[in-house]
Amino acid sequence: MTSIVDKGYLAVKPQASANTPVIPTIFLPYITDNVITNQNFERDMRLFGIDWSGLDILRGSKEHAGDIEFYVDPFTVGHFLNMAMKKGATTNDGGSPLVYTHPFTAEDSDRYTIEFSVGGYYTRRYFDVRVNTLDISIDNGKVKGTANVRAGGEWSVRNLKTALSGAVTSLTFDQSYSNYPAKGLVAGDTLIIGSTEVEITGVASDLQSVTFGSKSITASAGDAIYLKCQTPSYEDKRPILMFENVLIGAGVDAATALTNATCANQTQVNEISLSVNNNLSADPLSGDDCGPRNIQATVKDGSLTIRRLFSDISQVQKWINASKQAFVIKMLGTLGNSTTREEVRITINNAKLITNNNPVNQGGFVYDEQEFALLYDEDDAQAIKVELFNLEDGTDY
Amino acid sequence: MEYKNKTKKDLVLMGYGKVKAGATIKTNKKINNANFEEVSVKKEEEKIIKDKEIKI
Repeated sequence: MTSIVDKGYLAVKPQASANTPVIPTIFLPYITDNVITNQNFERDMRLFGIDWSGLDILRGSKEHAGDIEFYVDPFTVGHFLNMAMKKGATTNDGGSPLVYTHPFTAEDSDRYTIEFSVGGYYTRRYFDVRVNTLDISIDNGKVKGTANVRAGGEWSVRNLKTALSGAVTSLTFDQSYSNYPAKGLVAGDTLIIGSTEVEITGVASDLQSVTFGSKSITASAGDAIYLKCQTPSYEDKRPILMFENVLIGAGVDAATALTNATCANQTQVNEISLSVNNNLSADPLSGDDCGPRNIQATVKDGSLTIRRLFSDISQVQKWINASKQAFVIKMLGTLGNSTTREEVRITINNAKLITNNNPVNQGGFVYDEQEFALLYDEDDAQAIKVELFNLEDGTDY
Repeated sequence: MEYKNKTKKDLVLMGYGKVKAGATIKTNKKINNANFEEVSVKKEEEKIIKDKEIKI
């Protein structure tokens, strides 16, 4: 049997707390991912009286991480922001329909359970997921996001511990992969054993087994048990945000930058990319096989790169003098109601040029090629803020 | 089998089309999606009996 990649999906949902996976029910369109579990296997180099390198491999610390690429639209980006930053109180504009504003600041985010369907065949579930780095760039005129995520654990495939025959209401997993093999499953999940499906009604508190309604199953010890893919469902798809609708306001401070983020006063650039890094700690932790693994931000940082036509020496001067600059980047979508657009608005309070190069490209224009460090601003008491304007009331975040 | 969109949002269920919030669809396949709940025949019968009782 072959499987087609395109039959896969990404589903997400915020968790109420750490180490409490949920069934993800919010399906997000995405481009690609390379999120994997790395068991850090290495050759077993212990001496066994032979002249060959190893009889077996040994498992190391498990790591669950990788990148997810998606186009930025006002619906999809909300969940990646909520996985990357701390959401504040949602407000609305009072219009019809309501356009909501969700502010995000650089603090520990919600934890998510996310699932990837592998060609519609089986599911890779990760829980306690947070975004490590969130990159925003431009891809052929479209605003693209790349989220590097880290997770506390995964559930995809396990083995049956003891054979099953006749009508049964529970099954036990073996401990080949984990001492707590049911960790990651929740009531309502559907498991597949051979050609039989069971819907979990309970996960044992010792995380060794699950219960379900009576089912006739014939299976042998060691048989694979895997998580069934969902039938994906999507909410109203929002248009992807486009580079041609990105307005960049620049100024000596964030307030000035905001007033300049208009068609008349904008700073136009040829290329722009932004990276926000939570520098997540995902170190192995004693007891994290059953308990939570700390996936939390350490010192956060960010960078901004811009390529724009050289027009005068002002940017060179700012680089020479290490002057503060502020930016408001408005990524405008379509009107949500008669007055308010859907939008991703990024406020950068204190950016300073690390490099400002004018490279020689014969036959071409002179460009300012710039890399900014995003710094904490003492006056505004923040380094970065993201505001998302969309039609979601925020209860899913 | 009959499934109800139990969310407050209209959803496009892949392979089935748009299902409005609270609306149901009929299918001979199992829907594995927590946004949808199976409407059991027993529940429907109970509802019909209850509706009749209310009318009486």
